[in-house]
Amino acid sequence: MERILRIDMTRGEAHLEPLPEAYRLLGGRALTSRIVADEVDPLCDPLGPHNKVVLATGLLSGTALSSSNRLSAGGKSPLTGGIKEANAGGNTALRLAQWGIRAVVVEGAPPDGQWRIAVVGPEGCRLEPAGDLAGLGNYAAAGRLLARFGARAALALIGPAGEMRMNVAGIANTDPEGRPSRIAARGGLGAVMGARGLKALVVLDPGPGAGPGMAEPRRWREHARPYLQELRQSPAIARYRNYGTASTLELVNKLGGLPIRNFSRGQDAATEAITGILMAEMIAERGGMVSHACMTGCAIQCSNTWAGPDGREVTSAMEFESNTLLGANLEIFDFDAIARFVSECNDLGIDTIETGAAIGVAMAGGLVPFGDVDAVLDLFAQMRQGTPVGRLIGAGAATVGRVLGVREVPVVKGQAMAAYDPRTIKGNGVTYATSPMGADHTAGNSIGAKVDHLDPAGKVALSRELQITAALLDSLGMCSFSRAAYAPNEGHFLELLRARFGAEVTAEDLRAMALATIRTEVAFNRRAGLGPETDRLPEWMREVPLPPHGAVFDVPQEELDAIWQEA
Amino acid sequence: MAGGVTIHLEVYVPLRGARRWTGTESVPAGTTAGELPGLLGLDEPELAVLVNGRYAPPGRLLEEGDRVAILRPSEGG
Ligand code: SF4
Repeated sequence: MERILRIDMTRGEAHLEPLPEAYRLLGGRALTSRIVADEVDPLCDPLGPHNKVVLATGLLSGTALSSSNRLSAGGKSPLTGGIKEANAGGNTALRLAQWGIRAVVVEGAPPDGQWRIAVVGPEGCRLEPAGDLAGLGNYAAAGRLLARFGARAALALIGPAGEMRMNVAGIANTDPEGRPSRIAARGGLGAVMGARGLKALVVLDPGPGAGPGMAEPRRWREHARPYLQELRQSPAIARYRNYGTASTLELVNKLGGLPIRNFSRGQDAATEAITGILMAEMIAERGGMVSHACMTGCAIQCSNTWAGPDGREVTSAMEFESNTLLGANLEIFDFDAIARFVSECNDLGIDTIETGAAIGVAMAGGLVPFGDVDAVLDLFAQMRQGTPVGRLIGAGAATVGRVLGVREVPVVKGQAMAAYDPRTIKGNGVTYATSPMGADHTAGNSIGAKVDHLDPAGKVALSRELQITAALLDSLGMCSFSRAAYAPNEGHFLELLRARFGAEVTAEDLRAMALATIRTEVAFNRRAGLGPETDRLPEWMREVPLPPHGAVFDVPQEELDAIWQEA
Repeated sequence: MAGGVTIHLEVYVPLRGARRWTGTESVPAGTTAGELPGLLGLDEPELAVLVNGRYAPPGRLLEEGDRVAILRPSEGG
């Protein structure tokens, strides 16, 4: 019997509830969004006592299936003012699912204002004081917690930014070696967890053999193998293993859609210094890990570790989005500098995309110069100290733009765009505008489509299909990089779900679940006051041409408005 | 390689001993974008071929002065 863990921070109590029948075939994003829609007033203050943090495992989580343990975090976002789901790797979802917990709902706030940790183990869940962890960065806090609860425990924790309720704050999850580097980063859910007074969720290792119930184990084994074979043979998967996501940079640069100097250019020869192929070579030369699993059992292993010139590990992981938003977007074309920024983001517990975009806008507004590594490190130090300037960056790109009077702010619904300029990569522009998540590429990333990205025709239909697939994978708990192996194996996935739940799930059921999830989210946003007028790219992106193509975003607004109206 | 059409080429996979190869290349007239990786001896599957900064359909004929980039398709997450 699977359960929901409800943590009442006001009373200092936690208890397990049976999973309602209505939620039995919901996981990940489908479940977080459903619970948020069912339990959170859309008009509530995101940082007030009526918002909740919901963590959910996927429908396939807790099993040995590769890449199936993404943890979804949900709540009302302080950044967008709408519903939010952000998911991450690490081992938190695996451990929760092993204890038979499908979701965790954190509600209320401690009246004494003191920090707590919640510890999940054989007796259920208990709350403990965590004053000793207050103010600690994620690396130090994770080190202390894992020393105390065992290296095989999994953590979901917030850093200083979450404690200070910054909009850029995410919820960090530990990888198999205990690095707090897998952050459910987008939308400020770390601030919502901070407002609950919860510094960390600690999930103990239940030991070998633990896992969610399986209705038909033999059926499961029969159908898990073909997916693994596909993963091992797929060229797309091999590329992730050998180069991670970083090689996306040279592709997007050549397409002319890479954010450079606060989204003012789409291509720059200086990016040759931060290409994915160069990065893989440097990692290998310095003794870092070119390939690394962010969660136990991932066969794709797109993650990595970056070592400094002395061979000592600086951070994990170096990825396309971070290399672009914290690198090219700031005119910093230096892997060692970017690695230090990523390490700071992990330790503060913040979103590299929102932070990079906020600093880019700050540079455009003259707060610090473009290309100045020391100035960026100083901004991170100020965020840690909570100075007014640090809190300004921590409020995100939209706030920085308003304060500094910058028009060219790359946000939708207050959330920063990822590393694809939508004037060139127009399918992603559609996703940014129409996803209930705000400008979030993971909601439907079109860069993998071999289409003319500059042509607005067909991009609404492309984005729509990608958004539905993304919602589906997010609900299964599957990493988006497994998509290449999901499509040819959909029949096997259906069998895996049938084996797991003993229910005759169909492809139409899954698609309907994904679409219903998106519509639930759109409805929440509407009730929260985010009308169709917020499903827009910023005006300047329809007017200011992006070199080298001179492109503007020109997908007709009427097409965007109709995206969720079709059956 | 037989003369015909001269293109400007950038290759972001190992070619001719270089991690990243760039230069002008002469290809037979009638060569298509889809044929180019094979013509260069690149055997990695699914390579992306961009012509003048756009994805080219595999049947697109290469023309004099085209700027062609060959890369690994990839996406961030
Ligand atoms: S593919 Fe990468 S991000 Fe996805 S689960 Fe594996 S290591 Fe993590």
